[in-house]
Amino acid sequence: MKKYKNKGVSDKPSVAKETALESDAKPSVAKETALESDAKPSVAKETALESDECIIRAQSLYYEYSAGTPFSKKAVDGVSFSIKRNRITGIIGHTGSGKSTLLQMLNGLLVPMSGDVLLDSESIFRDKKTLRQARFRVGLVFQYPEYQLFEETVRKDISFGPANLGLSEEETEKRVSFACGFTGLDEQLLDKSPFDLSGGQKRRVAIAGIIAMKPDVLILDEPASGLDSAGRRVVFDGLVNYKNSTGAAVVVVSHSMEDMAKYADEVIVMAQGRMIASGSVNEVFSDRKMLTENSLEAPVISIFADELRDRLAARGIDFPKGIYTVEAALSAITALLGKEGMH
Amino acid sequence: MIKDITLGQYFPGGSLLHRIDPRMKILVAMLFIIMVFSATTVYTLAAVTVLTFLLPLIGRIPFKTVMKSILPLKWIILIMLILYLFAGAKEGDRILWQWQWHFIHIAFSVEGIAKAVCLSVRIVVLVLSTSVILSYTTSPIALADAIERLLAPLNRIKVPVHDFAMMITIALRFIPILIEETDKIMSAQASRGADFYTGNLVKRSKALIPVFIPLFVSSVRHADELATAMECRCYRGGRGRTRMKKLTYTAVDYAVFALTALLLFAVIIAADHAGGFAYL
Ligand SMILES: Nc1ncnc2c1ncn2[C@@H]1O[C@H](COP(=O)(O)OP(=O)(O)O)[C@@H](O)[C@H]1O
Ligand SMILES: [Mg+2]
Repeated sequence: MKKYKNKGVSDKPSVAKETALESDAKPSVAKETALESDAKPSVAKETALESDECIIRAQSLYYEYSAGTPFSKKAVDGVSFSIKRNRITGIIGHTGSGKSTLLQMLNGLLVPMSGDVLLDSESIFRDKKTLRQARFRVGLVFQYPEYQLFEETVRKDISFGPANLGLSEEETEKRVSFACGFTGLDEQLLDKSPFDLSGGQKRRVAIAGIIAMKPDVLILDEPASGLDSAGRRVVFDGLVNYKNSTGAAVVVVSHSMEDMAKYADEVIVMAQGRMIASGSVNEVFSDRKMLTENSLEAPVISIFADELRDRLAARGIDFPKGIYTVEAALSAITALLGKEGMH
Repeated sequence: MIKDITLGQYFPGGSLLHRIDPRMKILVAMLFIIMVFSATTVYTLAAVTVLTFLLPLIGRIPFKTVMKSILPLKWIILIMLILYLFAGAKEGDRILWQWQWHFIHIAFSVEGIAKAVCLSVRIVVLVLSTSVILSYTTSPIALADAIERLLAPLNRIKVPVHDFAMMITIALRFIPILIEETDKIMSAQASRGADFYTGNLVKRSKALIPVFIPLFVSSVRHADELATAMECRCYRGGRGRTRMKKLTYTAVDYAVFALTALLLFAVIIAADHAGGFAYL
């Protein structure tokens, strides 16, 4: 609930961004001006648009576990960023880099020891009301969420959140089918016990339980871990659909660089509690040095594409840069083959 | 939230106190308890108090942490102080102040105050010494192990000592896991809008259902997994079972025991030849 000095917040992240790539220099300047745009509405249109887009903003968040004891552990240290509507923001980082701690501050489950979280430019820690509102507007799906299921039927379990929102039965029922639509759950499963489902189905029920609350910001902590590739695809496709049809911001932690490249619009890189880079998929994944320094790796297909580009360059053939997904590689190669065929 | 509760206050370290055989520590703690009760004069109690306050130093436990374990005693001490201050005066005591109304008689006496203070000190010393010896510097697992070994003779009369010790060990092992899990489930349900902190008792108890059911399910799952893992490693109970960490007494253990016994002896003798005044 405390507000700490937030001035000079933006220097660290913007430094990180500059290392990511030049092209981000402009938006990051725009963001800084957006900070003041509340006071002076007459700023350039571009900045106004920028502040509209941004829904949740973290300002130099700091969190330490068991603070004040010999076991104290710094988990998140001076992290600032902003999350935009209608985007999927990926968070990557080694295990223990503070990702889960960070997420729990975004919906107020953990109160940062310093720093603040702004939801639509208002601190969520201002009072009980804003905090409770943040709980509802920022939906957080924990890691292994299937262990939180408790109701007799899947339907009741998914209804738990909407019921807590105080929605009518009719509206709740609508929300259940709404959520099932995005998570690929068969409506026939609704009257089964959640404990009788397969692991992948349980996971989707748990995610549906949050989606049913229609959060403006949907946050997921490693939603695909332990799922097979079909299960991962269903989960991620559901997130993309949810984002597209509601315009919500989606934040997702994942260890799969392939999934990040395929689904995320922006990527935040965490290491040892700090945010060390952020930017578009292209910006982050092209910084190989930064990634390897933090025990991360670019998607395998992009390593392949780079290797291919080098070899083709030796033969005087051009191959495009910035390929991070199989689909992109495929179309680039097809295009190349088409061109070569014309010769 | 829940994780702020400290359970099992083991403070890892390599001090002399940490290295003593846990069985010997149980015996030494017993001697200490006897010593505290034998110190029936002000001087001996003062000596035992000084000795007790040396223990956290020897075990390299921060004093602040130790003080935290005494803090909950404040109510007991307060009630006792009041009782003794007001009702502790006997015939022949040096009365400082008194007040009588029908059969209610309140009196402050020098002896009453001395008794109240000494008793409070005694309680603090008792809790401090046993908690430093047994809980701050001994891991719960080592303690369970030591209890099993000390009670081994009961096997002769068919008491399943090993099984009890194993149950205690497993229970201790699972406490932190279950606390962490409770915390996680509570957070997960809170992010679905569950509210554990407002409303009347009925509402708040109901709010715990979404926590208890998953917790129960995962406890059963943990138990199941553990049982399978133990069977995979051929666990078949205590019979014929050998240990990886064999407890053996070393010269240091014997020396510590001898020293404590000697101190106890000294306290008993000194209390008998009461210089100063005996308060009990
Ligand atoms: N409940 C907790 N108590 C103490 N330390 C914790 C707790 N949760 C996480 N940590 C520590 O905080 C750091 C960050 O953890 P976490 O946020 O879970 O990272 P990630 O999700 O990136 O793996 C880790 O070093 C971890 O050991
Ligand atoms: Mg995590």
